[in-house]
Amino acid sequence: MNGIVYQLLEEACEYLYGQKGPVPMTELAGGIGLELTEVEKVLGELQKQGLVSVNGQGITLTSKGEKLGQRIARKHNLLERFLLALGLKKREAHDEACLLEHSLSDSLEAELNRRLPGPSWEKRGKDGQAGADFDPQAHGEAPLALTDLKDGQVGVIEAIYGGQKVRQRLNDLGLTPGTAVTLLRKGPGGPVELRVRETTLALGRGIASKIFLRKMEWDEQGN
Amino acid sequence: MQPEKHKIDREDISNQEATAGVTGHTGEAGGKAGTFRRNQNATASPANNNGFGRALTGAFRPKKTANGVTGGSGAGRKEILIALAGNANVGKSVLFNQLTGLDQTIGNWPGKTVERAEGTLRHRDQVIRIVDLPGIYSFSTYSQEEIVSREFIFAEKPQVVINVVDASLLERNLFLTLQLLEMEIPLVMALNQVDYARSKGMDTDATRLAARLGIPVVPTVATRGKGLSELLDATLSMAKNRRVNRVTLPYGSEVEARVSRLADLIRGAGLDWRHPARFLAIKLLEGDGEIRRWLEAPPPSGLAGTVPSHAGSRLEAAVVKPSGFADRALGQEGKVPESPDHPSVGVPEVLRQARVLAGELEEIHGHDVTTVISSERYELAHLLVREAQKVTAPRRHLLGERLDDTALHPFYGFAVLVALLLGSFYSIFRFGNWSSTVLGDFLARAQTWVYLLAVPELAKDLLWHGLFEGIIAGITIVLPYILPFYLLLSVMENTGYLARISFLMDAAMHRLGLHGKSLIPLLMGYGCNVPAVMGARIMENDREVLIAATLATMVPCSARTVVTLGTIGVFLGVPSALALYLFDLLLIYVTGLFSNRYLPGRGHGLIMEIPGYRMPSWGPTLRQTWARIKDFVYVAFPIIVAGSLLLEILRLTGLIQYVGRLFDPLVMGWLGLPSIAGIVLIFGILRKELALIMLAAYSGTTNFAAILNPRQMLVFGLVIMIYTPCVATIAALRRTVGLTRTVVITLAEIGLALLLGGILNWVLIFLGM
Repeated sequence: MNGIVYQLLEEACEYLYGQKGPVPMTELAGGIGLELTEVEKVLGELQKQGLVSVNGQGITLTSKGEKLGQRIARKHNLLERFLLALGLKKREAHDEACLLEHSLSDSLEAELNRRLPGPSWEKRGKDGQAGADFDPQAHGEAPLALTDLKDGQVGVIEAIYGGQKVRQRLNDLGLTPGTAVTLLRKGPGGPVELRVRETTLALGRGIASKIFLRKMEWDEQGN
Repeated sequence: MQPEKHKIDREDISNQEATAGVTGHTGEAGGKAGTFRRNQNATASPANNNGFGRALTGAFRPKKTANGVTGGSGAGRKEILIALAGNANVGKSVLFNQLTGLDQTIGNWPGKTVERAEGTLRHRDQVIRIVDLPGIYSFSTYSQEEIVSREFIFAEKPQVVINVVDASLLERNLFLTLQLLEMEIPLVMALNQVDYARSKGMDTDATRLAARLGIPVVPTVATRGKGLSELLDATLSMAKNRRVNRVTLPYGSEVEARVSRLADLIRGAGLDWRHPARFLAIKLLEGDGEIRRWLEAPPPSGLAGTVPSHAGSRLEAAVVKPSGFADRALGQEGKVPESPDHPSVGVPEVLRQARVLAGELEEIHGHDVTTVISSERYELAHLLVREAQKVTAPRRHLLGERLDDTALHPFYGFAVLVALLLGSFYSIFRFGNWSSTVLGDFLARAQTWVYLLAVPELAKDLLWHGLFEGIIAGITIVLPYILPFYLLLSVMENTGYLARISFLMDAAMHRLGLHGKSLIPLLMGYGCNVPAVMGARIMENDREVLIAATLATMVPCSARTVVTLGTIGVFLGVPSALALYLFDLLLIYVTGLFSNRYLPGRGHGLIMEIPGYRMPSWGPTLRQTWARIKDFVYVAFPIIVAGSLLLEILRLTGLIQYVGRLFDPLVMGWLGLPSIAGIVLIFGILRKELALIMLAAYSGTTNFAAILNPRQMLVFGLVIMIYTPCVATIAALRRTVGLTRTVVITLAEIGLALLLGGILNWVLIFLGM
């Protein structure tokens, strides 16, 4: 398949991943900056690849599409941080990341993630006191979603995707970037129970899968 | 013209000040403003109130007067107003109950579905009115609870706000405290559950915390009434001195610099007469829509005539207006002539600057500005905790966590859940059945007295069957069934178990377009559908409210259970009744699947705190139970009585026969039921359990097996269970989801019941029953 087309598919999945609910085609066109006729072609290809399903209300990602979208979104976020650290302006960093995200290999992604200090240690306005209990250099793997943790594992929040309201609510409850989170257990069918700042929270699977972390090498007790 | 008007108002103020001085209400610095309110409430005519409202807000600039002064409601009585604010599950309600005892009223905030609890107490000869604000985690997401709380604080200006804080979850609690400090209101902290925190190995240094925050911090154990007297002392002295915290806890340098710059701009523009400048600056940086809209709203023209009075219920003034910021225009008018020489920038410029500064912050931090500010706030909270709290023992594996290993287990968890629910349903209906009979028999004695009255026979019938039987029916449903059920539900909620059920059932509810929290309204439906439908409003978005409310109407309430057990249970055996119950559950599930499939949009997802297990205290449990039963008493009860009256009139006039005959083809032909059942079904809309009573009344026997064969009984039971929400539920639905949707839901359910009832009838005939 044509590389350009594949890039468009990735772009579409990334966009859809960031949206709530089925997305009408016009909205997708606006979101990835294509003409309606072009989007139709992309949509045909997306369906052929089993990345999306389409019904009367719009386009929804399949689980395969969701995985792809998540992967690209993750790469985008990482690249953007990298570029910001290089000193680019936010807008530039965003645009560049949009281009680079499609060619970043998984191994380079992991490497970049390992080398790149998290946003929490980079600029917190107060000489990096945040998360002083943890050494950012001593660990690090590819970013993973909260739902990827196993019971009892600890991670540090990198970024939270999703709607503004949900993000705000999560921030209010103490889930802010740079905070350590312990996954207590996964419930039947997907909700997670977690501990953050001594508070126990339950999150639905959809929300939990949009919280990205860096895994810690030790559990809560520091073992 | 306006400046002149303003002058008059200023005179009003000075007159009032004089009055205050003469009557000698108070010798306190800010007591004057309080006196206006009292006088105004007592004597001012509505026409004057506008003037007062303006004068008041003019005088209420926090900088000038010592902030937040409001008198009580009683004329001439010295009373102070205090608010309790804090996170959910920190013992705030327990504290409220300990403070006020039985002297409390529970209602809703005007125009909102949020519960408002208010009470009074006396401490050192001072009457204190306490309002328990809803439990919130922040002032940022514009949920109803947060808006109500914020509005209360700025509009009603309680003399003191008591911030109830859970010492064992200090960091998260301080996140809210920091926001309360930003409001620059007189604040006292109740550091609650210090004993529990200590048992978890956390020692909190209250003096240290007080010094850092610049507010009094009083350690309390609300459940055992410890520290309450000290808390009230601190509160009273705060109310007297009105020492507003002047300690500013700065954010990180990048954020703080921009906050100050914006705050200066706001001060220069004279926009800080209602909220402190720094607070406005932070909110604007965060992109708070409410505050932005409030700043942008143009002052209405023809002010004096159109702006509703500020007096009357202060709450209404505070919350009921759509914008929620009723007195803005008034106050601004009062403000403008005050600062004519301020070369101020306009609102648009302030907003533009806010956007620019927020953009800069996003660029520096690489995160959303709201995330940046929340992070910084938590950072501050974290530092405060590190300073003021020593963790003396390592975290232990607590009993609650071990309990959760079972309660949240994918298999044992469900086993416990099913056992608990079945056990409680069984015992409640056993108890209900018994006590309802006893109670009904007892109340039925009144019949003799009614028929002894010296009024025409017809009036007696109307009085007894129409009025008294309706009332009795209500009572014999509320006390034996609904009350124990809701009591149990409250206990489950306050022990923390209900949150566990929500977690267990979250995934299943997702398939219905809901999430774990919706279990609360659905379970409430087993008591009565009315509070259940109203309770659906705890869901986060419209779509979820609609689905939850619809499904709640299908939950077999206690009245329907009575009918099912009284017909099918008695004559065909309990297994058949259970089968019908299971079928109804299945139907609810399928309806949920369908609505999720075809309604536009998507659900919100579960975000919920799982509180630690605790022993429920009686006060909050009873209060919650009452809050739910209240919906039944105020909404359902009058409709039940009115329905009974209507029915009796139709019966006495003989019209009922004609109504019945109208539906005979459907009832006899399609459902295969006797004609009498049709009448019963139609009037069962008024009250479902009435169906049973009417059936008995019309057939002259309680041996239903004599009038309905087993097939008919099954069909009858099925149709009764699903055919329509009763009138009271329809009324509740209308309030919750609007008229159109209510009509659709009701018609759909009638159609579904007739369809399924008919199918069952013909299948059973086919099977030879």
